[in-house]
Amino acid sequence: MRNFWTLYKRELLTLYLTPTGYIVMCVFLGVLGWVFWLLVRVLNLPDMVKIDTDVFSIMFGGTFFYWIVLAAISAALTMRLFAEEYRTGTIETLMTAPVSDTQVVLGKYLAALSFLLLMWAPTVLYVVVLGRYATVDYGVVFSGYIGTALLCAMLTALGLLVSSCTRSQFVAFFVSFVIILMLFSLNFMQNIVSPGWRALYQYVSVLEQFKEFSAGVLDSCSFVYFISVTLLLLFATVKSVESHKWR
Amino acid sequence: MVIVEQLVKTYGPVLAVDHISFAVQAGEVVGLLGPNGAGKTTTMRMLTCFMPATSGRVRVAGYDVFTDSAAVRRQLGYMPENVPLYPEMRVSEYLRYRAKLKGLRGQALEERLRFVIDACELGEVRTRINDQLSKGNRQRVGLADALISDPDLLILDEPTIGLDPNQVRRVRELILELGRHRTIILSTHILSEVEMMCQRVIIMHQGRIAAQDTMANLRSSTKRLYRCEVKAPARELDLLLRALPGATEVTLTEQGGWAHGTLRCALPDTDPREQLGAAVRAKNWALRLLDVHEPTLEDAFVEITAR
Repeated sequence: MRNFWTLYKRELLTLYLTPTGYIVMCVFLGVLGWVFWLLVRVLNLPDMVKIDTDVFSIMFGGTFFYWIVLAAISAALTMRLFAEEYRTGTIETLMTAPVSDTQVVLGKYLAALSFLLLMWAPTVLYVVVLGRYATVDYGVVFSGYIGTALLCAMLTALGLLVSSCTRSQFVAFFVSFVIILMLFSLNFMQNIVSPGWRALYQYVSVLEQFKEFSAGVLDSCSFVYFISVTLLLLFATVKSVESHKWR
Repeated sequence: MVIVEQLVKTYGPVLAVDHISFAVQAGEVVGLLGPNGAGKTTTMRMLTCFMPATSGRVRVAGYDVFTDSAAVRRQLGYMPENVPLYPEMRVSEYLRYRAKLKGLRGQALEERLRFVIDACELGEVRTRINDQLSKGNRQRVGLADALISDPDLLILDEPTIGLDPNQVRRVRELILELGRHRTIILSTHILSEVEMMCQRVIIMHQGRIAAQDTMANLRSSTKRLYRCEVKAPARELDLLLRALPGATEVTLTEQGGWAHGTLRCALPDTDPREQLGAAVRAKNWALRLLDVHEPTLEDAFVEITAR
């Protein structure tokens, strides 16, 4: 446990010491701020006011930006984690210290996830600002944040797994980015497959599972989905790190 | 302290380490020598639990590196080749992090940190960023890291590579000092260093142990080189040299009427100089040089690895 904290703190420190962390943070807040401003403006147009739509139910998962930005930042924050250790050889000093593979994986994972979740913290300001001028459905805001946190947990685990398979940060970034986009596109598959398969595609589709959260519903089925996929990916990462020794 | 039995490592079809066995007693300083690609680094990686062996067994301080890997790693300090460091961390920050990973806390950590920074002469650079360190300083940070948990066993992969002569001397002195109370296994290409630091050497060649012995035994088992300069016809001297007991690798050159002959004697306890002198006197030739070149570790190394 103490080793875990040491590893966790180092990883988190590195994210705050290297430019990658700041670039990701700037891009993220820039895009999200822009989306928020755009949504508020559009929803206030005379034609739109009649439709009773909440800004936050669109902001969480309702725009193309949300998904692209999440895919990009989770890929960018996780690309370094293992790939850089393999490239520079620091994996050798790390793994010959008395630490377990699981501690290393969890330390890196939770550090990246913490950074990612902390990046969302300033967006609470949007809620506060909007709350002063309009009525905000706080239920939607709450479930939106919960859903986003679960989604981030899953994408970070995916990025970590990809990073553990390569020595190149660049490869890690692109492979995880593409896999995440493919994962999102599963949603469209349900329209082309036979009805028998539709239920399966609906269940494995990230977008489908996320819909409930943006609608303000906390569904245990979605919790199980996100958490189980995350755990599976983390397990695969531990195995991938172990397997490096056998090559 | 370290017992290696029938250790094998293959990388796909490549046999990197081929059934090696050796033992290192507690308190010994052992040099692992060999040409590039001999399997030294692979062997060290298996000793430090970084890589599992394909087959064979390694026990460190009574623990098996495969089944008790965590216990083994707590016993040892390892400095890998080229000293990989996290580039964004500062020296003292990095050492503190490594100390914590190795289980040090509080007062004990601060004391060890002060000791290794002092011992490895890192005082001036302790606030520098790892990325901006010179090769010599990186090497010393790596050594400080290996030492920080005060391990009983130190495994150092080319500890002095890339250092300038003054730094080499200081690192060597540090290792000698450390070796008084610890077991050290170090690999290097610099043979004079091994002669100064190690009590015993293991010479690896093509994945196998080509020789392992104390420095003195290794030298004495290496063929001595004898030289002579005689005013005589080269062909006759050649015949005479070849007739000496145990003579091999006889060479002859002629210059200004003097024949320069060299030979190696395959019999370790035989000195052919007396017999050669008597033979030259009997022929009434003039003799102006007759000497022996005591083999160095380098001679032993070349002889063993050129086989």
